[in-house]
Amino acid sequence: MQIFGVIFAIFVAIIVFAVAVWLIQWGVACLVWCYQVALMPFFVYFFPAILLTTVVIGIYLGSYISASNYFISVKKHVNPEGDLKKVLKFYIISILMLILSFIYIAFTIISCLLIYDLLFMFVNHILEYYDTIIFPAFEIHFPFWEK
Amino acid sequence: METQPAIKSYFFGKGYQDLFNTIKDSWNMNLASAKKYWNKTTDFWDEDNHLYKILSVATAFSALSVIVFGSIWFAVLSILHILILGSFFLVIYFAFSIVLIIEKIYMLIRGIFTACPECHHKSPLPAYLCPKCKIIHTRLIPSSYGILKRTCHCGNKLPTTFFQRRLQLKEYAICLNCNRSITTQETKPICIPIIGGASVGKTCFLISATRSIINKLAPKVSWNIEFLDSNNEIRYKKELNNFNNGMVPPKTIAMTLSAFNFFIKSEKWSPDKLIYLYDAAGEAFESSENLLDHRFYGYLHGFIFIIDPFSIPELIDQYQDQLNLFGANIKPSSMMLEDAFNAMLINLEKNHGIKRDQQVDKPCAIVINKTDAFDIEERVGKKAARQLMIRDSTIKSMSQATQMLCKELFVECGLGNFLREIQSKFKKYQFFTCSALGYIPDNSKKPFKPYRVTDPLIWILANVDKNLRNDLKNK
Repeated sequence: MQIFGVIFAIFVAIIVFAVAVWLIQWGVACLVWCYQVALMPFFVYFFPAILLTTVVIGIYLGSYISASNYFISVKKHVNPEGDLKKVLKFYIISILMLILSFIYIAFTIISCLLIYDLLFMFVNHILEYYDTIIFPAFEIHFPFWEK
Repeated sequence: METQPAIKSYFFGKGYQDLFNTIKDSWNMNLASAKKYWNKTTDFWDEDNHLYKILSVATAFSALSVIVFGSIWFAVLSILHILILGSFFLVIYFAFSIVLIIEKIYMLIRGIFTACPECHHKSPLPAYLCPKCKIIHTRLIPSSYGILKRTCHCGNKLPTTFFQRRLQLKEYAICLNCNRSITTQETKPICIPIIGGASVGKTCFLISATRSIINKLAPKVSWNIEFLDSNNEIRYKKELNNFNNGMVPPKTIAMTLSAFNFFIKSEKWSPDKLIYLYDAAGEAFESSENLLDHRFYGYLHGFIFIIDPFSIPELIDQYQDQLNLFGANIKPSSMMLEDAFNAMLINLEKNHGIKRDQQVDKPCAIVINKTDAFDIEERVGKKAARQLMIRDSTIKSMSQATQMLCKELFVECGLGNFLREIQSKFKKYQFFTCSALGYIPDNSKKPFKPYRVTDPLIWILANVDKNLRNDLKNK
C-alpha cells in the first residue's frame, strides 16, 4: 500500500512539476508577446515617432515665441524719422513676415509630405510587424506529453 | 566730412543702431520667455497635484524649445533682418550716390564754384546759415546728414542739392573762410585779374570796359548785366560819374583787394556767369610777396595785362618832348612792365604750383593802353592795323594785324626778351590796343570816350565760356 502511495505521490509530483513547467512556458510566452506587441514597438517605432513629433512641436513653439519677440522688438526699435518711418517699418515687417510665412509653409509642406510617406511606411511596417506576431511565440510543450 | 550741426540720416547712423537694438532686445526677450517658462516649471513641480507635474513637463519643454529652437530662429531672423535692411539701405545708398554724382557733375560741367570776392577763398559751395537758428552748415551737399534735405539741430529742413532749390538759401550764404556774407549764388565765376604797374590805367580800363559791356555789348547779345551787390553798383556809378565829367578815378591804394563783380545773365543759358575783375593797386606788383593774398591766381580764368606804353624806356625817349609837355596828364607808369609781369609769374610759380618751364593754359590779353596819346594809335592802332592788312595780304584779320604791330613795336623797343617770355609762358595770348579814357585827360571836364576796351575782355570771355562764345560769335 505504501508503495502505491509513493508511486502516486511521485506521479502527482511529476504532474505538478510538468504543470509548473507548462505554466512557466505560458508565462514566458505571455512576456514575449508583451515585448513583441508593446515594448519592442514602443522603443523601436513609437519612441522615435514621439521624439520627432516633440521636436516638431518644439520647433513650432520655440520659433513662434522667438518670432513674436523679434517682431515686438522691430516695432519697438525701428523708428526712423519723417516720411520713411512707416515705409521702412512696413517694409521690414512685411518682408520678414513674408519670408517667415514662406519658411513656415515650406517647412509644413515638407514635414507633411515627409510625415505622410513615413507614416504610410510606418503603418505598413507596423501592420506587417503585428501580422508576424504569433502567440505564443514559441511552441509550448507540456512535459512528458507526446503529441 | 566735418561734423555738421544736423541730424544724421537714419541710413547712415541710427539705422544701424536700431538694428543692433532690435537684435539685442529680441535676444533678451527670448531669454526672458525661456526664464518665464522655467519659473512656471519649478512652480508647477512644487505643487502636489499630479496634473501640475505634467504641466511642469510641458513648460520645461517650452523653455527648452525657446532656448534651442528659439535661438536658432533668432539667428535666422537676425540674418534676414540684416539682409532686408541691407537691401533697403543699398537702394538708398545707390540713390545717394546717383544724387551726389549728379550734383558733382552739374557743378563740374557748369563750372560752378564759390570764390569769395573779399578773401578770395575758393570752395565748391559757400557755407549756409540755417535761416532759423543761424548755425553754420559748411557742406550743404548730399551726405550722411541727408540726401535731398538735411534737418538742422533746430529742426529746420535745408535743401542739399541744386534741384531741391538750395539757391533759395542764397541770402544765408557766407564765405567758409572769412564768414562774410556772400551773394555770389551758385553761378559760374569767371575770374580775371587786371595786372599792371601803378598808373597803367587798370581802374580806368575796368570802369570803361564795364561801361562798354553794359551799354554797348549787352543789348546786342541779349545779356542782362546785374551788379553783385549795391557796393559794386555804387562804386561803378561813382566812377562812371567821374568818367562823364572827365575826371580820372583816384589812385587805387588798398593792398587788400576786393573783386569788382557783375552777373551776366541770359535767357539762353544757365547758370548765370559772375564776372570777377580784380583791380589791384599797381604797387602790389612790385613784389611777388604782395600778391600772396591774391589767392584768386589759383583759380582764375584769364589775365588782362595792361601796358602803359610810356613805361617803356625806348618810347619814353622817343616821346620825350611831348611827355615833357603832357606828362602830368598822361601819368606815365614808373614801373617797368617786365617787373609787374615777373611778379605775376613768380607768384604763379611760388604759390600756385606752376612750374618754371610750364606753360599757363589760361588766355592772357596783353593790352597796350593810352593809345590815344600822341601817335601811338597811328603806330599800333586800328588804322595802322588796316594799313598793314592792305600791305600784307596774308594777314586775314585785324587782331592778327594788331598782334604783328604790337610785336614789332616790342622788338623795336628792345622788349624781345619780354615778348619771348610771354610766348613761352602762355599757350594763348593776344595783343590788344585801346584807350581807357579816349583822350589825354585835361581840365575840360569832357566825358571820356574810351575805345576798344571791351575787346580784351570779350576775347577772354569767348575763350573761357562756351555760352558766351556762342553769343559773342553771333553779335
